[in-house]
Amino acid sequence: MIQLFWRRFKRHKLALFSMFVLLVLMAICLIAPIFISEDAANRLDYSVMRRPPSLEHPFGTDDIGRDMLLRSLFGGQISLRIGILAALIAVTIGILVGATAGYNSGLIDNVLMRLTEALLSIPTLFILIVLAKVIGQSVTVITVVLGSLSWMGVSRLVRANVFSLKEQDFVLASISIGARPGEILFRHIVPNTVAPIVVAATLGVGRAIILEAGLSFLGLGLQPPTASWGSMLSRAQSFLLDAPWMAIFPGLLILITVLCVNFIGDGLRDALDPHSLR
Amino acid sequence: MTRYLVRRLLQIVPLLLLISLVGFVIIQMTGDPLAAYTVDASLTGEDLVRLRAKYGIDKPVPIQYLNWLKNLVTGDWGTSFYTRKPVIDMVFGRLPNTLILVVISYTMTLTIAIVLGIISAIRQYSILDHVVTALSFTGLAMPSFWLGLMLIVVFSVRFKEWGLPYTPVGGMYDHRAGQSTAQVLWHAILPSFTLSFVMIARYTRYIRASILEQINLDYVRTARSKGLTERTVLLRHAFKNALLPLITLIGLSVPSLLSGTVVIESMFAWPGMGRLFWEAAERVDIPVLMAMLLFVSVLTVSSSLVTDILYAAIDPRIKYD
Repeated sequence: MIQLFWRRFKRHKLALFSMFVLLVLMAICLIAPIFISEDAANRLDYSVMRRPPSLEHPFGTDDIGRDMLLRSLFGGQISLRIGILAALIAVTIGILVGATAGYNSGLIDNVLMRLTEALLSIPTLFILIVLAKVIGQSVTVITVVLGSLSWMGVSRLVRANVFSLKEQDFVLASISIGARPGEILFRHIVPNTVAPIVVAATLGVGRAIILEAGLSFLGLGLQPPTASWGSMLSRAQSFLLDAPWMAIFPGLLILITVLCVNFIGDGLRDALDPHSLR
Repeated sequence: MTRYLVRRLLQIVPLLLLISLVGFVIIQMTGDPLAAYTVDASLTGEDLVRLRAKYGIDKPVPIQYLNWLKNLVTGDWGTSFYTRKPVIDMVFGRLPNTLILVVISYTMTLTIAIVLGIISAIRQYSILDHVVTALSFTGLAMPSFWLGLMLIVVFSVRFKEWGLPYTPVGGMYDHRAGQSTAQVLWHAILPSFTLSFVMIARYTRYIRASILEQINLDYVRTARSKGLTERTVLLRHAFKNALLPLITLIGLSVPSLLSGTVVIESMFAWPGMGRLFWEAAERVDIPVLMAMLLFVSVLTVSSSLVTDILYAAIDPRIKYD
């Protein structure tokens, strides 16, 4: 089963390439900090303020003399971490809600679905702005908040799948040997809906990264000196005239990362889709 | 159908009440509207108490909420804590500005996306198709505000350096030239385009996929075999069916567009509702915040309802209970 999946995934050249690029990027972001301390990235050097990209500073320097390349790497670590964890949280909540709603049709299903819709109706930005002021702005908070606002789509997917799967014979068989509903749900049904969930999770990572960047850009995300690609972009706004590279590189990195994630998601979707015969 | 409508409309009121209640509670937690005043040493404690009583924020939260609700029902949206002008004037004064951006964005988006999507689908796998697909993917992976920044760098900063006609960086019009349609449109180009880009990317992909799906269906083959020109086949039959689901997309995009305007308006100093919301959030201007929350919620809920109705009206296969 897994070998079949890999073979199909490898056919998608673009996804493969993206996975490679993304892994390299992640590796750099995660390994570099071992060799270069965070202090080095945040080291201020007033003599080299706002220098354009050069051999010594490949991404240029920012307005208070920090090397952009190093800051981008550290920022990448944080942005990636937030993105992946937030997507995981969203998927977990989505599976729990969706599976419960799908399996127990009737009152529970209705209540859960109304709740989902209500949450979807509340303007997201509003909640984010307010929550940021109330709870504070740390990496954990942002991750949890982002995850808690993105699970609705996954839950709808899972619910639809559970609906169709619970009529199948293997469920009937499980019931007849006395399996409890919880067991049936999470041991049998959910593993069969893994394909769209994985795809949704992958695309969710991209979405979370962009959302986090947006939050930090507005000033609601991480505070200085913690760098994330979004907060770097926020800072760059005042220096578009003097030092546009401060804005170019973080944004470019976000673009490349999310692009790769999306391609991988597409490749996964093609590889896991039982309907496509390619 | 009428029963469904009535049921949906009845559901809206409790939903809005719930949203406004939750919103009110959360706003209370964000901070003190009089925070700015507490720094001023010339204000005594008595003054602050008096101010609180005047604004009505000395009462317990549920009472405040009920007061707000009571006023709202009689048509009084309150007075801003900050500008002391009626909230309605403030919000609806800025509404046209945001509408300008939104209308221009949607027009741009639909025109470009439909054209590109159709051409992409008809000439599948051509170079144009590949370019369009690549651009779409890029657009979907890009934070829209970064695009805005890049556009500013290129078209406002660099163009000026290179002596080319450059787009203005902010505001709705040049104060020296006065507010005219031409000025406003000129200033609106960059912000609208930034707002539209991601939408264009998404819609183009969607339209392309939708048309491709339709073209491969049997009724198209039938139409072709009847001897109709390819043009008639596509225009009269395939496109209509393909573009129908677009209505749902557009309807669902209204809420996210509103969030988008907050960022874009701030970045381009466009005096619209998004920016008003941002400023009010900074100052914890409760009446303004509640008014905007209500406005956005009503818009979201009603756009979803309108979408459903429109869809049922156009597609004869859809029937609600």
